[in-house]
Amino acid sequence: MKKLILTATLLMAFSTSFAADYLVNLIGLDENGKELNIPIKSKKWKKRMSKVFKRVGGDVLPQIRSYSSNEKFAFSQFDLGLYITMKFGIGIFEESPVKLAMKVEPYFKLFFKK
Amino acid sequence: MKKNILIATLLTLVTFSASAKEGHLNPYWFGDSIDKSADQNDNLNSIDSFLNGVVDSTVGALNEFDAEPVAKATKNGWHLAGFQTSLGVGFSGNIGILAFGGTKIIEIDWARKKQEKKEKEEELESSLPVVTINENHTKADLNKALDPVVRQLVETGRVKDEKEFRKNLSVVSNDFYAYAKGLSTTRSNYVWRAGKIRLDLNFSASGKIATAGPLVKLGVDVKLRLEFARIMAKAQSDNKAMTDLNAKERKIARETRNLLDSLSYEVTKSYDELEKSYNMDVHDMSFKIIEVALGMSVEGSVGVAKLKGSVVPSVFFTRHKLSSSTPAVADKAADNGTINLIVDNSDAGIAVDKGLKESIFKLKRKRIRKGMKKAMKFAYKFAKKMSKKAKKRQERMAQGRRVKMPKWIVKKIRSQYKFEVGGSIGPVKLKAIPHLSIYWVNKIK
Repeated sequence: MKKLILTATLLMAFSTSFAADYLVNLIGLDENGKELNIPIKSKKWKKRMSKVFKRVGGDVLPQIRSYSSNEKFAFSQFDLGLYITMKFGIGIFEESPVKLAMKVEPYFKLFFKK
Repeated sequence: MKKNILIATLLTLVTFSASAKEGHLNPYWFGDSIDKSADQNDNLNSIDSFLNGVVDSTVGALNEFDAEPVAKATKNGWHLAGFQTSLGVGFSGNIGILAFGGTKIIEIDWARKKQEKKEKEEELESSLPVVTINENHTKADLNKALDPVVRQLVETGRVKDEKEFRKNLSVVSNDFYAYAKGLSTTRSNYVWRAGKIRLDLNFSASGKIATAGPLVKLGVDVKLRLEFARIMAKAQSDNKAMTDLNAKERKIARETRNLLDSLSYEVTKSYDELEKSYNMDVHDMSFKIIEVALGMSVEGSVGVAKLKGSVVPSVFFTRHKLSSSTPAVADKAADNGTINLIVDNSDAGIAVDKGLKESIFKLKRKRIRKGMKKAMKFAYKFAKKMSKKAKKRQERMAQGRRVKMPKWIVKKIRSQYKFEVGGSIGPVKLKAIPHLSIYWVNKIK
């Protein structure tokens, strides 16, 4: 019985340790209409998004604040659509080990409001 | 001991088999089946890990940004209020964050939990130049409203060829007006009713209309939105509504009316059936809108078209309160009737029949209803799962760190579907262009 509990505990611990960093797949079509998949760990993806938020937010927010203080610009929402260009290297493609780095451009929208 | 090893092996096998299709949507969602035996396949558990990853990375990054000095609110109050990302589904059903060209299946809007006021469901949408009309406006009024927009676009140099721009705009705005008149004369009293028609136009600087496709990035120079919002409960009479329409436009208006009435019934009936199986108020998200694209065949017949984002108008159905004057959902014509699906030459995979020759495919309403119910079920399950995961993640963070965390929640989810020629409806894959969108909105108080 003890062994059974131990086995079950180990199995659970094993799966939990994996669950901490999930795989988020990046997906899309290339210029020829062929499907592409790039698996990436969620922690790595979070780091990249965080970097973008800091960079874009850091650049954009002061600009909006400065424009907004000028009475000529009376707007209440600022939408920013952006592609994040990233390069992924050899051996990470699901279907074939492509030799060259691949450009990935996920599209996001950021909404800034008053 | 042998027993223990057997149990452990079984556990491992179960774990292994459950993760065999990890990250893939079950084929059930793309097929025609909706029977109860499929229930074990429709729980979306196979994409749990992926969704956890999306939630963790998004909420984590947003929270990290909030800790930055630049994110702190200033006197004039500007701050990051929302974030939108899109998901796509591959040909074999694998789900991912849309990172290259392709059609999105799901669009997720994130927002802060504490809102100053209850916002409209579409407030997070892009602030395009919008020209809005209602039943009281004539065609001349629409043209009058468009004129200053055209002049501004020409004066600012965003449109180089004014003549070409005006010519193209006039063609699409006249058709748009005819669709709008179809809506204004629709007498449907079903609980789900069409209330708005929208046309998002994308023009190039040369004044030509630009259409987006799965592989085309929308980087056009000029965007313009035309909207007709119905404000009267009572339908307008043909005599009053159609005085300034020519023969072709009258045909569009009449056919739009018939289509909207049929769709109104099908949406209401599907929702009613879904409501019997699921408690729609059980989670934070609320089923708000169904968007369907309208199109015209070569012969001028109106039907359900692809949501191409330009030239093709969308009609929005919203839920109205049930009143004593609302008829019971029963339409004798529905079970044997059909609804037009506009097909074009790019649908080369469709077997040739008399429907294709006319650019119209007749979809059986019974099958549409079945597919629509399935689409609603998918939207319901996805919205519920996503919203719960985001909420739980925030709670875990707040408990673990013992600090007051800014709370980001899923504000809106838009899922997209495609009609198959057989009449079933499935979540849209990367290459396909959707016909139908379902919106769930968070009930922020």
